[in-house]
Amino acid sequence: MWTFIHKLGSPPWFFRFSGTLVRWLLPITVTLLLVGAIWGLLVAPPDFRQGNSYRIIYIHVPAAVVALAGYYLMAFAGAVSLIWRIKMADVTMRASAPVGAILTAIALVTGAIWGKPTWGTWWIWDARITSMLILLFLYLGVVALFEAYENKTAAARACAVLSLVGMVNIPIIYKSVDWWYSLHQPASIKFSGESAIDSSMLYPLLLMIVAFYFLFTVTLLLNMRAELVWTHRESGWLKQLVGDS
Amino acid sequence: MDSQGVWLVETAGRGLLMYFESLAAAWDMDGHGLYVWSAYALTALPLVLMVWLPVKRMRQHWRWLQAEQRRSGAATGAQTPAMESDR
Repeated sequence: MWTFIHKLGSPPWFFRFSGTLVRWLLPITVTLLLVGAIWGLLVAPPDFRQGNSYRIIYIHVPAAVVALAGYYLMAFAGAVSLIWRIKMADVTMRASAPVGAILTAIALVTGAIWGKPTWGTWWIWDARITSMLILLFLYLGVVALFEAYENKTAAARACAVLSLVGMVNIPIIYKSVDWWYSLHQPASIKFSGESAIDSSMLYPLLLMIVAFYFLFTVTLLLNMRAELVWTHRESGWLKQLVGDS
Repeated sequence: MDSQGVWLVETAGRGLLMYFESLAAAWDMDGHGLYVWSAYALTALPLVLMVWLPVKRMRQHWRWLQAEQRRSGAATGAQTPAMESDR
């Protein structure tokens, strides 16, 4: 286990390992997304109160769930980078920010489209929606902050601090639907006890959540690889790989 | 549900049965079709870009490095020696 973690910190090893991983994960991800989307769009029954508009749930919820999970990863990588000064942690933190930003944007846009037929409005300043908008700004903030610094070591440190401070927002997002009861519905899936959703709707939803986790992993790895190729362009191992290709 | 619907996958009467009676009904979704399909379409585009953009960026870097190696190889007349892999 420790050797594995140690190896992850080594760019040449990571580069080869992630290359193999992506080749396997990408076709699996595409398959899961397609099956999940067809299941949710065409096979699952409609909601008895919301009719067919609820089918947006199969992208809205997975995008939001994985956007939050991505923030944990970004903040954790930021902490590792601050404490142990591991370069690969910087790369992980940087690579997760744009992916998380896109997923958060998808959650917000699909939420707005879902809101129109269900609540009669595209947007309200509800606690859940507002805190998700803050999450989007935090992700974009990390992207922008990194670009703003000339010195990339200082940039990584500033991004790590920003992502750690932004962690305050995460429990607010989770609890917002319980603390401020407004238009946004509370969670339907619960880890303990009965979920408030029938299995005919739950299975495609869980499948899509898994698919989005796979997608996050694949895009994170692809971003990290693109980054490594550039930052290690002077390194011997990369020159050799390029020469052999 | 009766078996009048459209089968997506079917083996001997079992499989995935489409909820809607026809593709036109699936498109309309009782008037919500525009919302649902546009939400999926607006998601599909960024998902494709999320995968495609880093792949493209990596390829560009890779080609640049290959060209660089050819340039330096031609200039010195020798292959760049492989150095110790650095952290």
